[in-house]
Amino acid sequence: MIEIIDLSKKYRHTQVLHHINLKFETGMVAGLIGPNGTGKTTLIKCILGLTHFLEGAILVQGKSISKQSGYRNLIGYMPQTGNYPENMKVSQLFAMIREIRSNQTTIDDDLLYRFGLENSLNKYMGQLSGGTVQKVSAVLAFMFDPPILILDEPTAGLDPLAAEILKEKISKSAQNKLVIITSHVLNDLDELASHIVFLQEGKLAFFEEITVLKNKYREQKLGKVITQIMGVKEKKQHA
Amino acid sequence: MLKIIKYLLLDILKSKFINVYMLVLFLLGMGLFNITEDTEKGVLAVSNVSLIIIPLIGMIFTVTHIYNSTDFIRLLLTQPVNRSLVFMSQYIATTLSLVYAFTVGIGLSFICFTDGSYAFQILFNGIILSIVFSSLSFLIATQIKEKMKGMGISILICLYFLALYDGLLLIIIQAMSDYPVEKYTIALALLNPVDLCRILIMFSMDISALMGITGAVLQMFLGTVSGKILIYLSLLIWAILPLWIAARKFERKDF
Repeated sequence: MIEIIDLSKKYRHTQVLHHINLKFETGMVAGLIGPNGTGKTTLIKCILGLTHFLEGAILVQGKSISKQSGYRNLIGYMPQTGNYPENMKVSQLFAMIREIRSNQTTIDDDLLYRFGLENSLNKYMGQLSGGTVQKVSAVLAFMFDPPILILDEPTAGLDPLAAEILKEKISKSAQNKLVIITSHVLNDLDELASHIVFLQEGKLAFFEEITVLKNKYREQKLGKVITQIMGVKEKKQHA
Repeated sequence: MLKIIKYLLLDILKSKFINVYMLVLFLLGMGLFNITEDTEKGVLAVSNVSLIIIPLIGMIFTVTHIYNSTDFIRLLLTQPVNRSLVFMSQYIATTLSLVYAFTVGIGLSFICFTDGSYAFQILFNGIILSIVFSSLSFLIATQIKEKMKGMGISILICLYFLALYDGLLLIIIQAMSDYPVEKYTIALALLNPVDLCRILIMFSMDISALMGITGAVLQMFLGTVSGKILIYLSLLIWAILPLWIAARKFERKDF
Protein backbone atom coordinates (compact mmCIF):
# COMPACT_ATOMS: atom_id res chain seq x y z
CA MET A 1 0.00 0.00 0.00
CA ILE A 2 2.65 2.51 1.07
CA GLU A 3 6.28 1.84 0.35
CA ILE A 4 9.01 4.15 1.61
CA ILE A 5 12.33 3.61 -0.11
CA ASP A 6 15.56 5.05 1.20
CA LEU A 7 13.92 8.27 2.34
CA SER A 8 16.16 11.03 3.69
CA LYS A 9 15.12 14.53 4.63
CA LYS A 10 17.24 17.49 5.57
CA TYR A 11 16.04 20.81 6.97
CA ARG A 12 18.73 23.38 6.22
CA HIS A 13 21.50 21.95 8.37
CA THR A 14 19.91 19.17 10.34
CA GLN A 15 19.32 15.75 8.91
CA VAL A 16 15.86 14.74 10.15
CA LEU A 17 15.40 11.38 8.44
CA HIS A 18 18.19 8.98 7.52
CA HIS A 19 17.56 6.40 4.81
CA ILE A 20 14.20 5.15 5.99
CA ASN A 21 12.88 1.96 4.37
CA LEU A 22 9.37 0.83 5.26
CA LYS A 23 6.55 -1.15 3.70
CA PHE A 24 3.00 -0.77 5.00
CA GLU A 25 0.20 -3.08 3.87
CA THR A 26 -3.57 -3.02 4.15
CA GLY A 27 -4.74 -4.50 7.43
CA MET A 28 -1.82 -3.09 9.39
CA VAL A 29 -2.16 -0.64 12.23
CA ALA A 30 1.29 0.82 12.46
CA GLY A 31 2.16 2.69 15.63
CA LEU A 32 4.84 5.27 14.97
CA ILE A 33 6.81 5.98 18.12
CA GLY A 34 10.07 7.50 19.22
CA PRO A 35 11.41 10.27 21.45
CA ASN A 36 10.47 13.89 20.71
CA GLY A 37 12.07 15.36 17.65
CA THR A 38 12.98 12.10 15.95
CA GLY A 39 11.14 12.84 12.74
CA LYS A 40 7.77 11.11 13.27
CA THR A 41 5.81 14.12 12.13
CA THR A 42 8.26 14.75 9.30
CA LEU A 43 7.76 11.18 8.07
CA ILE A 44 3.99 11.64 8.09
CA LYS A 45 4.31 14.98 6.35
CA CYS A 46 6.45 13.39 3.64
CA ILE A 47 3.75 10.78 3.00
CA LEU A 48 1.09 13.50 2.85
CA GLY A 49 3.12 15.59 0.45
CA LEU A 50 3.34 18.50 2.89
CA THR A 51 7.10 18.22 3.02
CA HIS A 52 9.37 17.77 0.06
CA PHE A 53 12.25 15.33 0.12
CA LEU A 54 15.24 15.15 -2.15
CA GLU A 55 16.47 11.62 -1.60
CA GLY A 56 14.44 8.45 -1.78
CA ALA A 57 10.91 7.75 -2.89
CA ILE A 58 7.47 7.11 -1.47
CA LEU A 59 5.12 4.85 -3.42
CA VAL A 60 1.40 4.68 -2.75
CA GLN A 61 -0.21 1.73 -4.50
CA GLY A 62 2.99 1.35 -6.48
CA LYS A 63 3.07 4.89 -7.81
CA SER A 64 5.50 7.60 -6.79
CA ILE A 65 3.80 10.47 -4.97
CA SER A 66 6.24 13.18 -5.94
CA LYS A 67 4.46 16.14 -7.55
CA GLN A 68 1.16 14.25 -7.43
CA SER A 69 -2.03 15.18 -5.61
CA GLY A 70 -4.55 12.55 -6.74
CA TYR A 71 -3.23 9.88 -4.39
CA ARG A 72 -4.48 11.93 -1.46
CA ASN A 73 -7.98 10.75 -2.43
CA LEU A 74 -6.93 7.53 -0.69
CA ILE A 75 -5.88 9.22 2.54
CA GLY A 76 -7.74 10.49 5.55
CA TYR A 77 -5.57 12.62 7.82
CA MET A 78 -6.19 13.79 11.34
CA PRO A 79 -3.75 16.50 12.43
CA GLN A 80 -2.45 16.88 15.95
CA THR A 81 -3.80 20.40 16.32
CA GLY A 82 -6.50 21.84 14.15
CA ASN A 83 -6.93 25.55 13.70
CA TYR A 84 -9.87 26.24 11.45
CA PRO A 85 -11.28 29.52 10.12
CA GLU A 86 -13.10 31.15 13.01
CA ASN A 87 -16.16 32.34 11.14
CA MET A 88 -16.79 29.09 9.32
CA LYS A 89 -19.61 26.91 10.56
CA VAL A 90 -18.95 23.24 11.26
CA SER A 91 -21.44 22.31 8.53
CA GLN A 92 -19.71 24.66 6.09
CA LEU A 93 -16.35 23.07 6.81
CA PHE A 94 -17.76 19.61 6.09
CA ALA A 95 -19.49 20.88 2.94
CA MET A 96 -16.27 22.49 1.74
CA ILE A 97 -14.18 19.33 2.09
CA ARG A 98 -16.98 17.32 0.49
CA GLU A 99 -17.01 19.63 -2.49
CA ILE A 100 -13.23 19.38 -2.80
CA ARG A 101 -13.50 15.58 -2.83
CA SER A 102 -16.75 15.55 -4.80
CA ASN A 103 -15.54 12.60 -6.87
CA GLN A 104 -15.84 10.45 -3.77
CA THR A 105 -19.38 9.38 -3.05
CA THR A 106 -19.03 7.06 -0.07
CA ILE A 107 -19.66 9.18 2.98
CA ASP A 108 -19.07 7.79 6.43
CA ASP A 109 -20.38 10.22 9.03
CA ASP A 110 -20.91 7.59 11.68
CA LEU A 111 -18.42 9.38 13.97
CA LEU A 112 -20.32 12.65 13.65
CA TYR A 113 -23.35 11.12 15.36
CA ARG A 114 -21.40 9.06 17.85
CA PHE A 115 -19.54 12.17 19.01
CA GLY A 116 -22.87 13.97 19.21
CA LEU A 117 -21.65 16.70 16.89
CA GLU A 118 -24.93 16.96 15.00
CA ASN A 119 -26.06 19.61 17.49
CA SER A 120 -22.97 21.68 16.86
CA LEU A 121 -23.27 21.79 13.06
CA ASN A 122 -24.49 25.37 13.13
CA LYS A 123 -21.82 26.61 15.50
CA TYR A 124 -18.82 28.55 14.29
CA MET A 125 -15.43 26.86 14.45
CA GLY A 126 -14.16 29.73 16.61
CA GLN A 127 -16.73 28.92 19.30
CA LEU A 128 -15.70 25.29 19.73
CA SER A 129 -13.49 23.98 22.52
CA GLY A 130 -10.17 22.32 21.74
CA GLY A 131 -11.59 18.84 22.25
CA THR A 132 -14.57 19.46 20.00
CA VAL A 133 -12.25 20.74 17.28
CA GLN A 134 -10.33 17.45 17.60
CA LYS A 135 -13.61 15.58 17.14
CA VAL A 136 -14.30 17.57 13.98
CA SER A 137 -10.82 16.67 12.70
CA ALA A 138 -11.51 13.01 13.39
CA VAL A 139 -14.85 13.12 11.55
CA LEU A 140 -13.09 14.71 8.56
CA ALA A 141 -10.39 12.02 8.51
CA PHE A 142 -12.93 9.18 8.42
CA MET A 143 -15.51 10.95 6.26
CA PHE A 144 -14.66 9.43 2.88
CA ASP A 145 -13.98 5.93 4.15
CA PRO A 146 -10.39 6.14 2.84
CA PRO A 147 -8.21 3.03 2.50
CA ILE A 148 -5.36 4.81 4.30
CA LEU A 149 -5.73 6.63 7.62
CA ILE A 150 -2.98 8.77 9.07
CA LEU A 151 -3.66 9.90 12.61
CA ASP A 152 -1.30 12.23 14.45
CA GLU A 153 -1.84 11.89 18.21
CA PRO A 154 -5.53 11.11 17.70
CA THR A 155 -6.57 10.78 21.33
CA ALA A 156 -4.67 13.77 22.71
CA GLY A 157 -7.15 16.36 23.94
CA LEU A 158 -10.21 14.13 23.65
CA ASP A 159 -12.32 13.31 26.70
CA PRO A 160 -12.14 9.63 27.79
CA LEU A 161 -15.51 8.76 26.28
CA ALA A 162 -14.68 10.31 22.90
CA ALA A 163 -11.24 8.67 22.97
CA GLU A 164 -12.90 5.27 23.47
CA ILE A 165 -15.32 5.89 20.60
CA LEU A 166 -12.43 6.89 18.35
CA LYS A 167 -10.33 3.89 19.33
CA GLU A 168 -13.25 1.57 18.65
CA LYS A 169 -13.68 3.18 15.24
CA ILE A 170 -9.99 2.78 14.48
CA SER A 171 -9.88 -0.91 15.39
CA LYS A 172 -13.03 -1.52 13.35
CA SER A 173 -11.49 0.23 10.35
CA ALA A 174 -8.28 -1.71 10.68
CA GLN A 175 -9.65 -4.83 8.98
CA ASN A 176 -9.66 -3.39 5.48
CA LYS A 177 -7.47 -0.32 5.84
CA LEU A 178 -3.97 0.75 6.54
CA VAL A 179 -3.79 2.89 9.68
CA ILE A 180 -0.69 4.83 10.71
CA ILE A 181 -0.82 6.36 14.19
CA THR A 182 1.69 8.41 16.09
CA SER A 183 1.12 8.51 19.79
CA HIS A 184 2.93 8.97 23.04
CA VAL A 185 0.21 7.05 24.83
CA LEU A 186 1.63 3.56 24.65
CA ASN A 187 -1.46 2.02 26.22
CA ASP A 188 -3.51 3.22 23.27
CA LEU A 189 -1.06 1.71 20.83
CA ASP A 190 -1.03 -1.50 22.81
CA GLU A 191 -4.77 -1.80 22.18
CA LEU A 192 -4.74 -0.68 18.56
CA ALA A 193 -1.46 -1.35 16.82
CA SER A 194 -0.42 -4.52 15.06
CA HIS A 195 3.06 -3.22 14.22
CA ILE A 196 5.46 -0.77 15.82
CA VAL A 197 7.74 1.57 13.90
CA PHE A 198 10.39 2.91 16.24
CA LEU A 199 12.30 5.96 15.10
CA GLN A 200 15.36 7.23 16.90
CA GLU A 201 17.31 10.30 15.87
CA GLY A 202 15.87 10.12 12.41
CA LYS A 203 16.84 6.49 11.89
CA LEU A 204 14.56 3.51 11.76
CA ALA A 205 15.43 1.54 14.89
CA PHE A 206 13.00 -1.27 14.10
CA PHE A 207 9.75 -2.15 12.39
CA GLU A 208 8.25 -5.19 14.05
CA GLU A 209 5.00 -6.93 14.81
CA ILE A 210 3.83 -6.19 18.32
CA THR A 211 3.41 -9.85 19.29
CA VAL A 212 6.92 -10.65 18.12
CA LEU A 213 8.27 -7.79 20.24
CA LYS A 214 6.40 -8.95 23.32
CA ASN A 215 7.70 -12.49 22.95
CA LYS A 216 11.23 -11.30 22.37
CA TYR A 217 11.34 -9.21 25.53
CA ARG A 218 9.01 -11.52 27.50
CA GLU A 219 6.70 -8.70 28.51
CA GLN A 220 2.91 -8.38 28.44
CA LYS A 221 2.80 -4.60 28.00
CA LEU A 222 4.11 -2.52 25.15
CA GLY A 223 5.22 0.18 27.58
CA LYS A 224 7.58 -2.22 29.35
CA VAL A 225 8.96 -3.45 26.03
CA ILE A 226 9.74 0.08 24.90
CA THR A 227 11.37 1.08 28.20
CA GLN A 228 13.53 -2.04 28.01
CA ILE A 229 14.60 -1.22 24.47
CA MET A 230 15.35 2.38 25.31
CA GLY A 231 17.16 1.36 28.48
CA VAL A 232 19.42 -0.95 26.53
CA LYS A 233 20.17 1.73 23.98
CA GLU A 234 21.01 4.24 26.67
CA LYS A 235 23.40 1.84 28.37
CA LYS A 236 25.13 1.26 25.06
CA GLN A 237 25.49 4.98 24.54
CA HIS A 238 27.02 5.49 27.98
CA ALA A 239 29.43 2.63 27.60
CA MET B 1 -11.02 26.52 -7.20
CA LEU B 2 -14.31 28.45 -7.12
CA LYS B 3 -15.62 26.05 -4.48
CA ILE B 4 -12.72 26.75 -2.16
CA ILE B 5 -12.92 30.51 -2.76
CA LYS B 6 -16.61 30.48 -1.96
CA TYR B 7 -16.13 28.94 1.47
CA LEU B 8 -13.08 31.07 2.27
CA LEU B 9 -15.07 34.19 1.39
CA LEU B 10 -17.96 33.08 3.61
CA ASP B 11 -15.45 33.06 6.46
CA ILE B 12 -13.55 36.28 5.74
CA LEU B 13 -16.57 38.44 4.94
CA LYS B 14 -17.94 37.65 8.38
CA SER B 15 -14.77 38.76 10.12
CA LYS B 16 -14.97 41.86 12.27
CA PHE B 17 -11.84 43.30 10.72
CA ILE B 18 -13.24 43.52 7.19
CA ASN B 19 -16.55 44.96 8.35
CA VAL B 20 -14.98 47.56 10.62
CA TYR B 21 -12.57 48.49 7.80
CA MET B 22 -15.53 49.01 5.47
CA LEU B 23 -17.40 51.13 8.02
CA VAL B 24 -14.32 53.26 8.77
CA LEU B 25 -13.81 53.94 5.06
CA PHE B 26 -17.44 54.97 4.71
CA LEU B 27 -17.32 57.27 7.75
CA LEU B 28 -14.08 58.75 6.49
CA GLY B 29 -15.62 59.52 3.12
CA MET B 30 -18.67 60.97 4.83
CA GLY B 31 -16.58 63.20 7.08
CA LEU B 32 -14.21 64.45 4.41
CA PHE B 33 -16.91 65.12 1.83
CA ASN B 34 -18.97 67.04 4.35
CA ILE B 35 -16.29 69.28 5.83
CA THR B 36 -14.97 70.44 2.46
CA GLU B 37 -16.91 72.99 0.45
CA ASP B 38 -16.28 71.79 -3.10
CA THR B 39 -16.22 68.19 -4.24
CA GLU B 40 -12.77 68.45 -5.74
CA LYS B 41 -11.08 69.18 -2.42
CA GLY B 42 -13.07 66.41 -0.79
CA VAL B 43 -12.05 63.93 -3.45
CA LEU B 44 -8.43 64.90 -3.04
CA ALA B 45 -8.62 64.49 0.73
CA VAL B 46 -10.32 61.09 0.42
CA SER B 47 -7.72 60.03 -2.11
CA ASN B 48 -4.81 61.08 0.11
CA VAL B 49 -6.19 59.36 3.16
CA SER B 50 -7.06 56.17 1.33
CA LEU B 51 -3.57 56.05 -0.19
CA ILE B 52 -2.30 55.73 3.38
CA ILE B 53 -5.01 53.51 4.84
CA ILE B 54 -5.17 50.89 2.09
CA PRO B 55 -1.53 49.78 2.19
CA LEU B 56 -1.40 49.83 5.98
CA ILE B 57 -4.68 48.09 6.78
CA GLY B 58 -4.52 45.83 3.74
CA MET B 59 -1.12 44.53 4.65
CA ILE B 60 -1.78 44.08 8.36
CA PHE B 61 -5.02 42.24 7.62
CA THR B 62 -3.62 40.01 4.89
CA VAL B 63 -0.44 39.07 6.70
CA THR B 64 -2.28 38.25 9.94
CA HIS B 65 -4.87 36.30 8.03
CA ILE B 66 -2.30 34.15 6.25
CA TYR B 67 -0.40 33.37 9.43
CA ASN B 68 -3.63 32.49 11.23
CA SER B 69 -4.66 30.21 8.37
CA THR B 70 -1.44 28.17 8.39
CA ASP B 71 -3.07 25.14 10.02
CA PHE B 72 -6.06 25.30 7.71
CA ILE B 73 -3.87 25.66 4.63
CA ARG B 74 -2.00 22.58 5.80
CA LEU B 75 -5.27 20.68 6.10
CA LEU B 76 -6.32 21.76 2.61
CA LEU B 77 -2.97 20.59 1.27
CA THR B 78 -3.62 17.09 2.60
CA GLN B 79 -6.70 16.97 0.38
CA PRO B 80 -6.44 15.84 -3.25
CA VAL B 81 -5.83 19.33 -4.66
CA ASN B 82 -2.80 21.01 -6.17
CA ARG B 83 -0.78 23.44 -4.13
CA SER B 84 -1.16 26.22 -6.67
CA LEU B 85 -4.93 25.87 -6.40
CA VAL B 86 -4.86 26.27 -2.61
CA PHE B 87 -2.53 29.24 -2.93
CA MET B 88 -4.58 31.04 -5.57
CA SER B 89 -7.86 30.44 -3.73
CA GLN B 90 -6.40 31.98 -0.59
CA TYR B 91 -5.04 34.92 -2.54
CA ILE B 92 -8.22 35.58 -4.48
CA ALA B 93 -10.47 35.24 -1.44
CA THR B 94 -8.39 37.61 0.72
CA THR B 95 -7.88 40.16 -2.04
CA LEU B 96 -11.52 40.09 -3.07
CA SER B 97 -12.65 40.81 0.48
CA LEU B 98 -10.30 43.79 0.75
CA VAL B 99 -11.45 45.10 -2.64
CA TYR B 100 -15.07 44.56 -1.62
CA ALA B 101 -14.67 46.43 1.67
CA PHE B 102 -12.97 49.35 -0.04
CA THR B 103 -15.37 49.57 -2.98
CA VAL B 104 -18.47 49.43 -0.80
CA GLY B 105 -17.10 51.75 1.91
CA ILE B 106 -15.73 54.49 -0.32
CA GLY B 107 -18.22 53.85 -3.14
CA LEU B 108 -21.18 54.38 -0.83
CA SER B 109 -19.77 57.63 0.48
CA PHE B 110 -19.34 58.80 -3.12
CA ILE B 111 -22.92 57.90 -3.95
CA CYS B 112 -24.35 59.52 -0.83
CA PHE B 113 -22.35 62.73 -0.63
CA THR B 114 -20.99 63.66 -4.08
CA ASP B 115 -22.12 63.95 -7.66
CA GLY B 116 -19.86 61.03 -8.46
CA SER B 117 -17.09 62.89 -10.29
CA TYR B 118 -13.65 61.29 -10.07
CA ALA B 119 -15.22 58.31 -8.31
CA PHE B 120 -13.99 55.98 -11.01
CA GLN B 121 -10.34 57.04 -10.66
CA ILE B 122 -10.41 56.86 -6.85
CA LEU B 123 -12.02 53.44 -6.86
CA PHE B 124 -9.63 52.17 -9.52
CA ASN B 125 -6.65 53.38 -7.46
CA GLY B 126 -7.98 51.82 -4.31
CA ILE B 127 -8.66 48.50 -5.96
CA ILE B 128 -5.28 48.27 -7.66
CA LEU B 129 -3.49 49.30 -4.43
CA SER B 130 -5.41 46.66 -2.47
CA ILE B 131 -4.31 44.06 -5.00
CA VAL B 132 -0.68 45.21 -4.99
CA PHE B 133 -0.38 45.20 -1.21
CA SER B 134 -2.16 41.88 -0.92
CA SER B 135 0.44 40.42 -3.29
CA LEU B 136 3.23 41.93 -1.20
CA SER B 137 1.69 40.46 1.96
CA PHE B 138 1.57 37.01 0.43
CA LEU B 139 5.20 37.42 -0.55
CA ILE B 140 6.20 38.29 3.01
CA ALA B 141 4.07 35.60 4.65
CA THR B 142 5.41 32.83 2.42
CA GLN B 143 9.02 33.89 2.88
CA ILE B 144 9.03 34.41 6.63
CA LYS B 145 7.97 31.71 9.02
CA GLU B 146 7.57 33.61 12.28
CA LYS B 147 4.40 35.63 12.54
CA MET B 148 5.82 38.50 14.59
CA LYS B 149 8.78 38.95 12.26
CA GLY B 150 6.47 38.89 9.26
CA MET B 151 4.19 41.50 10.81
CA GLY B 152 7.13 43.73 11.64
CA ILE B 153 8.55 43.55 8.15
CA SER B 154 5.21 44.25 6.52
CA ILE B 155 4.73 47.37 8.62
CA LEU B 156 8.25 48.48 7.75
CA ILE B 157 7.57 47.97 4.04
CA CYS B 158 4.39 50.00 4.37
CA LEU B 159 6.21 52.86 6.05
CA TYR B 160 8.89 52.65 3.40
CA PHE B 161 6.42 53.11 0.56
CA LEU B 162 4.33 55.70 2.39
CA ALA B 163 7.04 57.96 3.73
CA LEU B 164 10.65 56.85 3.56
CA TYR B 165 10.70 56.39 -0.17
CA ASP B 166 9.54 59.93 -0.91
CA GLY B 167 12.06 61.25 1.58
CA LEU B 168 14.90 59.40 -0.13
CA LEU B 169 13.70 60.64 -3.48
CA LEU B 170 13.74 64.24 -2.23
CA ILE B 171 17.26 63.82 -0.88
CA ILE B 172 18.44 62.48 -4.24
CA ILE B 173 16.80 65.34 -6.12
CA GLN B 174 18.27 67.85 -3.68
CA ALA B 175 21.76 66.39 -3.95
CA MET B 176 21.67 66.22 -7.71
CA SER B 177 19.92 69.54 -8.26
CA ASP B 178 22.76 70.86 -10.42
CA TYR B 179 22.17 68.15 -13.00
CA PRO B 180 19.17 67.48 -15.25
CA VAL B 181 17.91 64.42 -13.35
CA GLU B 182 14.15 64.91 -13.74
CA LYS B 183 13.80 62.01 -16.15
CA TYR B 184 15.55 59.64 -13.81
CA THR B 185 13.57 60.67 -10.78
CA ILE B 186 10.45 59.88 -12.75
CA ALA B 187 11.83 56.44 -13.44
CA LEU B 188 12.32 56.12 -9.68
CA ALA B 189 8.68 57.00 -9.08
CA LEU B 190 7.74 53.84 -10.97
CA LEU B 191 9.33 51.91 -8.13
CA ASN B 192 6.62 52.98 -5.68
CA PRO B 193 3.04 51.86 -6.32
CA VAL B 194 1.64 54.47 -3.92
CA ASP B 195 3.34 57.26 -5.87
CA LEU B 196 1.99 55.84 -9.11
CA CYS B 197 -1.55 56.04 -7.79
CA ARG B 198 -0.93 59.59 -6.57
CA ILE B 199 0.30 60.57 -10.05
CA LEU B 200 -2.80 59.05 -11.64
CA ILE B 201 -5.06 61.11 -9.39
CA MET B 202 -3.05 64.20 -10.20
CA PHE B 203 -3.50 63.71 -13.91
CA SER B 204 -7.18 62.91 -13.76
CA MET B 205 -7.89 65.99 -11.63
CA ASP B 206 -5.59 68.18 -13.66
CA ILE B 207 -3.83 69.65 -10.67
CA SER B 208 -0.25 69.06 -11.79
CA ALA B 209 0.10 72.79 -12.35
CA LEU B 210 -0.18 73.25 -8.58
CA MET B 211 3.02 71.30 -8.09
CA GLY B 212 5.35 73.67 -9.91
CA ILE B 213 8.25 72.30 -11.85
CA THR B 214 7.84 68.69 -10.62
CA GLY B 215 4.25 68.69 -11.78
CA ALA B 216 5.25 70.11 -15.13
CA VAL B 217 7.97 67.51 -15.62
CA LEU B 218 5.62 64.73 -14.60
CA GLN B 219 2.95 66.01 -16.95
CA MET B 220 5.50 66.21 -19.74
CA PHE B 221 6.83 62.67 -19.43
CA LEU B 222 3.99 60.67 -17.94
CA GLY B 223 0.99 62.74 -19.03
CA THR B 224 1.23 61.37 -22.53
CA VAL B 225 -0.58 58.23 -23.63
CA SER B 226 2.60 56.16 -23.59
CA GLY B 227 3.38 57.57 -20.14
CA LYS B 228 0.02 56.43 -18.83
CA ILE B 229 0.49 53.01 -20.34
CA LEU B 230 3.84 52.88 -18.54
CA ILE B 231 2.14 53.70 -15.23
CA TYR B 232 -0.55 51.05 -15.65
CA LEU B 233 2.05 48.53 -16.77
CA SER B 234 4.20 49.22 -13.70
CA LEU B 235 1.18 48.80 -11.43
CA LEU B 236 0.41 45.51 -13.13
CA ILE B 237 3.97 44.34 -12.55
CA TRP B 238 3.68 45.44 -8.92
CA ALA B 239 0.62 43.22 -8.55
CA ILE B 240 1.93 40.18 -10.40
CA LEU B 241 5.64 39.95 -9.63
CA PRO B 242 5.42 39.56 -5.81
CA LEU B 243 2.55 37.12 -6.25
CA TRP B 244 4.52 35.05 -8.71
CA ILE B 245 7.53 34.83 -6.39
CA ALA B 246 5.22 33.96 -3.49
CA ALA B 247 3.50 31.23 -5.53
CA ARG B 248 6.82 29.66 -6.44
CA LYS B 249 7.90 29.68 -2.81
CA PHE B 250 4.55 28.22 -1.71
CA GLU B 251 4.99 25.40 -4.21
CA ARG B 252 8.35 24.42 -2.73
CA LYS B 253 7.70 25.13 0.92
CA ASP B 254 7.64 22.52 3.67
CA PHE B 255 4.47 22.79 5.72
